[in-house]
Amino acid sequence: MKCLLCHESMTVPWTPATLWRRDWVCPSCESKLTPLGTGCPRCGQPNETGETCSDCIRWLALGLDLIVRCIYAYDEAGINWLHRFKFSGDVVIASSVAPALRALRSSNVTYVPIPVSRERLQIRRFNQAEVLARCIGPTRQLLEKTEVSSQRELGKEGRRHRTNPFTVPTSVKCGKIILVDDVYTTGTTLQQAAFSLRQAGASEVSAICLFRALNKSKSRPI
Amino acid sequence: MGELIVAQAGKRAIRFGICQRCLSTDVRTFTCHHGSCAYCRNCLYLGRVCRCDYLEERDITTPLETTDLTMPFELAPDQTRVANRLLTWWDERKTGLVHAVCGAGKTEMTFPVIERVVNEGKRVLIVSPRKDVAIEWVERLERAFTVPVTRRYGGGDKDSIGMITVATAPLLMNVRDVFDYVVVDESDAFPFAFDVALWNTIRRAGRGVFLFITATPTVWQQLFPTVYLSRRYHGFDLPVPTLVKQSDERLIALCRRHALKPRLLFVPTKADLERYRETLEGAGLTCRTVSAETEERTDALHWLQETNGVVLATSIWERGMTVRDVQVGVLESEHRLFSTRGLIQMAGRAGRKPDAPTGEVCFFYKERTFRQDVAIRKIKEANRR
Repeated sequence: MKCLLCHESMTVPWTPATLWRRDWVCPSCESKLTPLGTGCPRCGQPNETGETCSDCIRWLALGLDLIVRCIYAYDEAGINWLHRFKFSGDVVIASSVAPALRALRSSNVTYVPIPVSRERLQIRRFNQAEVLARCIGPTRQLLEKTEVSSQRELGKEGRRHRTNPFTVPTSVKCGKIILVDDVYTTGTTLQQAAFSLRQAGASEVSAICLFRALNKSKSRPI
Repeated sequence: MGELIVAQAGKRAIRFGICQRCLSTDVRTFTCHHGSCAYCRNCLYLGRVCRCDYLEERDITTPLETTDLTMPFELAPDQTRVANRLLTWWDERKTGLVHAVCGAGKTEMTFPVIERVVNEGKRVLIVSPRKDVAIEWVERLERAFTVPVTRRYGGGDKDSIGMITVATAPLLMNVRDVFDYVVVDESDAFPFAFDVALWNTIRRAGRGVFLFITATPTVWQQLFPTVYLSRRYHGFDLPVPTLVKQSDERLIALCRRHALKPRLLFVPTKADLERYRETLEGAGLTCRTVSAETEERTDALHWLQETNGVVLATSIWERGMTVRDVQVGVLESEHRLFSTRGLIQMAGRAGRKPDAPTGEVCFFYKERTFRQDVAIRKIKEANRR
């Protein structure tokens, strides 16, 4: 069997499920992504004490309470993984993080991926958040993103406090909603999406994010 | 005839679960923007093709040029014989094999035929197994020819085709019937010899006339008309390997014996690199390791040449590298990854320059194998011929 990520041949453990499973990841590739340790309960920003970080306190002061569960740190290996997944377009490597994502699954929840704009979808051909959301559980595309080109006309100040690009076209009837995204950098995207959903009538919104960009890291978020 | 380009019209990029660009079946389904779709994982590095894409075959538009040749040195009589044979093969449009020992000046022998092919208005392709070897080809070609040499490998410009193109095989996936003359350098090296698909990509890129150049041809390649060259260009014998029972003391003794010369030690696997580095550093020798994952391989090559150090390498360096007056040791030469051909190539790293025509080659063994014996016998045979 060949490893999904590095294409090296590997031996797989024998269980009846071996026949059913197609994609295998070798242990060395599996250990490349670093899981987040203890940190902020709201965004996963690593700290020793497990307190809410200052950025999340700032969100709370605005009245936005959103719990985001991040899985991996967005370090060198994470950047490489995401680049391969998102920009090279190797969609199936999502199945290498699928077990970690599926562990967060809970019942009676609708998973809502963060949408990409129509133009971006034409180029990239797929919505990376939707692929990840489908790894977890039942998804429903409740959000709609308006065109990005309108953002380009905004000035620097307007972009920093950018207007909410997400709208909810239908009324939300499902109870609990979990948003899914790939990278959590400042949290603006997820907070805006959660705000739109709450306004449309969602009772309970939280979020799952695959990577957490570390504030201290020199690596630039993509 | 031409290059396959993702376009709006043409034939479907993926048909019947087969990628039409690389002809692999590693095609996976996913959800495209219009619904269910499939993409090819094998040729992602050329840009992704989806089932909803179309491939168009576009003709090569780079202008046909003529070139002048300035030989870097005068060919020896033996080399002239080989070069003339290559010219007659080209005139008859025949595929052939150059079976020349390591360090015989194989690169320069092909220059006359490349010049003739280019001046007839045909395109030449030079395929090499690895980027390092390709870079060396480009350097030598640029010194000899006036026509610009195109670099079609990772790090060069990946989508260009000129009169003389130097390429690694995977980047030729999207080329069909373009090159009238294809020189396959080190044609028995790792990717070509074991991967029929890779050979088929080269065959699709060419138009039927090939030239295999190697010191250790496979049986299949030996079926083609062959020209032998069993003498290095400086006229000295190939260094014959000695078999030494492996122990740490003997290994360190080899390194100490040639303290003022660069020493190159081959190990079978990447795990062994670290193990032997600890052994050598315990004995007070500084060394560097080179494997396929090492990014600054040329840097390590310069370091080896200039500081006369010790380098532990995997078989990534068994071909296409030249260091003046290097001493070679092969550790665990009974390992199954060291084939007869690999051993001959590794022994051929020693004594490649005319001012240092000999060198010591040691096969360290824990067990004796036929592969070691056959390698030594072949080298001795080449010396006798």
